[in-house]
Amino acid sequence: MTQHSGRDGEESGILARVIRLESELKQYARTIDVQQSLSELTLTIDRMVREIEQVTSGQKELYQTHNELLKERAEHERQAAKEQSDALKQKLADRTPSAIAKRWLPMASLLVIIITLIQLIRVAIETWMRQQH
Amino acid sequence: MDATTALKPRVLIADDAPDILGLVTQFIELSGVYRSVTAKDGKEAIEAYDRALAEDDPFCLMIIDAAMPEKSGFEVAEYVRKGHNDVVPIIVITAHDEPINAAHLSYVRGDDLLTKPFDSQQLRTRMDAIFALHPIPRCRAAMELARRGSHMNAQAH
Repeated sequence: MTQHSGRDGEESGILARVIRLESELKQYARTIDVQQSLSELTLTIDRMVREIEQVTSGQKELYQTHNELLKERAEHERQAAKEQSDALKQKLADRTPSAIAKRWLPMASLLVIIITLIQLIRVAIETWMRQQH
Repeated sequence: MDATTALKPRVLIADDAPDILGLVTQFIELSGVYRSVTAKDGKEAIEAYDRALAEDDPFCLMIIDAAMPEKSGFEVAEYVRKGHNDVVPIIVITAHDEPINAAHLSYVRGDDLLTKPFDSQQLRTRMDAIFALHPIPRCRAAMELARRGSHMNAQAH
C-alpha cells in the first residue's frame, strides 16, 4: 500500500513537472514570437527611416534646384531688363538732333556734290552753246 | 526719428526689381503704420536681418521676392527659420504661379505667397491679417499704436 502510494506521488510529481515544462515551453515560444515580431518591426522601422531619408534628401535636392532656377531666372530677367534699357537708351540717343545730323551728313554732302556737279555741267553746256552761236 | 516713427513696426522688403521694390516701399511708407528697410538681393536681405537682430530691433515682417540673385527668397526664409526664428512672418512674392512655390514655401515654413501682379489692397489685406494675429506681442502692439498715431495725425491735418 505504502509502495503504491509512493509511486502515485512520484507520477504526480513527474506530471506536475511536465505541465510546468509545457507551460515554460509555451512561454518561451511566445517570447520567441514576440522577439521575432520585434526584430521584424525594427527592420520595418529601419526601412521606413531609410525611405523617409531618401524622400527628405530628394525634397532637399528638389528645392535646391528650385533655388538655383530662381537665381538663374533673376539673373536672366536682370540681363533682359538691362538689354531693354540699353536698347531704349540707344533709340533715344539716335533721336537727338546731333545724331540725326550725323546720320544724314554723308547723304547731304553727296547731294551737295551732285547738285554742284550738275550746276557745273549746266554752266559748261551753256557756255559751250553760247560759243557755238 | 520721432517717438511715433520709432514705434512703427519695421518691415524688410527685398526685391531685385527696382520698380517693385520702390512701389512696395512707397506703399509701406505711405500707409503711415510701418517703417521699411530695403534690400536689393537675398544676400543683402540676410545681412539686414542679422543687423536688425544685432541692434535688438528685429523685423516684424519680411516681404521677399522669390527670384533674386545671390540668394533666392526661399533661401532667405530658410536662413531665418534655421536660426530658430519661427515668429517673424514671411511673405514671399513670386512672378510665376507655379505649384512648387507653395510647396517650397511650406518646406521653408514661410507664411504667405503673393503672386505678381498684385495691387496695394491685396498686400494691405495680407499685412493687416498677419499683424492682427502677430506672434510677437511687441509687433502687434506697435502696429496698434502706430495705427492710432497715424489716425490722430490724419485728424490733426
